[in-house]
Amino acid sequence: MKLGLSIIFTISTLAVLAPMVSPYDPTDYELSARLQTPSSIHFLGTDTNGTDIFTQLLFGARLSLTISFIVIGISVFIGLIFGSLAGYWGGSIDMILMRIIDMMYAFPGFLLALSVIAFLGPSISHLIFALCITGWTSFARIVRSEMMSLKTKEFVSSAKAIGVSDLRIIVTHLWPNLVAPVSVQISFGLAATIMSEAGLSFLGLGVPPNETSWGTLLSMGRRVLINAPHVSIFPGLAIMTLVLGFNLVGDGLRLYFDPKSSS
Amino acid sequence: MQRLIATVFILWGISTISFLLLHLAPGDPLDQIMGNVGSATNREALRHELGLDQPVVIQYLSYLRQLITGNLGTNLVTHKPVSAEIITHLPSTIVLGLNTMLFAILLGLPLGIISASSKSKYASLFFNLFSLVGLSLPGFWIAPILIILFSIKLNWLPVNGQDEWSSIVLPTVSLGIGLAAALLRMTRSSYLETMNEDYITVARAKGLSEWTVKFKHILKNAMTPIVTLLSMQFGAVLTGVVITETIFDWPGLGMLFYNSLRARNYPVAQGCILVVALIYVILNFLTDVTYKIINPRLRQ
Repeated sequence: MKLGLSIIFTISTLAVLAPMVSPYDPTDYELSARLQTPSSIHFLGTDTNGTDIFTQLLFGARLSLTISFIVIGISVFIGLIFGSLAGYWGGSIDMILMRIIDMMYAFPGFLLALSVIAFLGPSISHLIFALCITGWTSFARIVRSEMMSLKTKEFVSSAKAIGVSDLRIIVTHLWPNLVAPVSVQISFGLAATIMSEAGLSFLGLGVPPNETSWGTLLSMGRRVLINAPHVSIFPGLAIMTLVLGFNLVGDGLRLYFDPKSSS
Repeated sequence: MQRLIATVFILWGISTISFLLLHLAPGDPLDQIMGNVGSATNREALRHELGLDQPVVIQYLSYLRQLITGNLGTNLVTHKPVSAEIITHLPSTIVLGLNTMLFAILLGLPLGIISASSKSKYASLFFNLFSLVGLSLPGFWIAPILIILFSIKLNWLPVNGQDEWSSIVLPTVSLGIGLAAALLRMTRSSYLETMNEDYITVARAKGLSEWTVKFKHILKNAMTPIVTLLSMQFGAVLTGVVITETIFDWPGLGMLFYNSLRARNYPVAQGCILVVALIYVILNFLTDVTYKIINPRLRQ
């Protein structure tokens, strides 16, 4: 967990400070210095335009992280609302929601996102939209099942007995109890979103090629794989490290909230 | 029966979403199909041929009517029936998918058991980190790395295509490594949980051999969550093939889907989505049957 947190912290700080810490300008290209292998001048080498890869990675991290945080933020919000409605009141809202979620589970998320972007055209907002469509269901599922077990607890009946409104019960009494399961899911969700963003952009159906994200860097690397493998290797390593960081934190949080699960 | 209704509902929903996706997307679908080429008369002829001059509701109903009879429409470019194209591409994907599952089971299950049985703290730390790294490896990155290493540097395996039997090795490994890692983790935790059950202590106390306890008692009881994971992961494999197949030029459903999306050949893309959803639904059903085979307690 500590390792995971430090990975996330380091990468996010570097991303935030990118304009200050990057050795070159991300729009600087020198066609004479194309596809250079790592050296003391460009310590991760240069890409097909002669731009410094380390600089690209730093600026790419900004975009990849921003997209992931927005997607997860929206997904948590939607999941919280629908999950609470369904779990707290049950009945027909619950039935409709569960049918929708079942459907989304049978509809492979990545294929849906891919089709949405293919039809709307690659752009950052379409990418966020596509990832949200598939992202909210896991949160709704968790919130719903937690709500269903929580609402039978005594503190809820006591609150009801003294006349606290349903909305107030949900927001001030029930939501704080969701912190543990939801934060674990946020960690894993961020890991998955980073991966999906990169995968979609890699296929050319995510971040448009004129912007830099880790996925677009990999996609560029694929075209020069044989002559300049370093263009692919470093963005991939960066993605792997960050995803590992989020997975470690998710795992750590789960252990922290539920020590029994470690056996 | 209730299951059947739910299944039909899911398939109806997915076909509706994919229909809406196409018809609510901004712009004239014909622009997407033809681009800016083709004369106005050609355009109108094609519009009529595809039924796009009808109101959306009529189009939707005729689309559903076609689906019920198993007609997935025609490929806009080759004018062949979509179902025929899917049938030619599906076997490659199924072969790759099954190979991947086999690879993951052969790697993940034994490693999971070993990691659960070992008492050393370092071993458990090692397996934990190892499996998390495996889970964090993007398949679309592993694939190029494997190509560089085994096809270009070592020249052991073909870069792409399907010409030799060994062509399947690299796609399988790049798809299967994450799956193996997930399986390792699930096997480990489920095995550890079962290990502490009273009936395992009883089995040991009866003097059964360690081998019998491990495989007949612990593993068999630990299988239910592992089977769940496997069936869910097969769905993930079906999605993962889109990237893996395009990288390795593997002529399966994933490549067909990707190419048809890029070419705006929407009846084909729609057909692929429906077939994947159908496979997923069938798989879910098979999983339930498997539960009852491995766990007699669920048979009532």
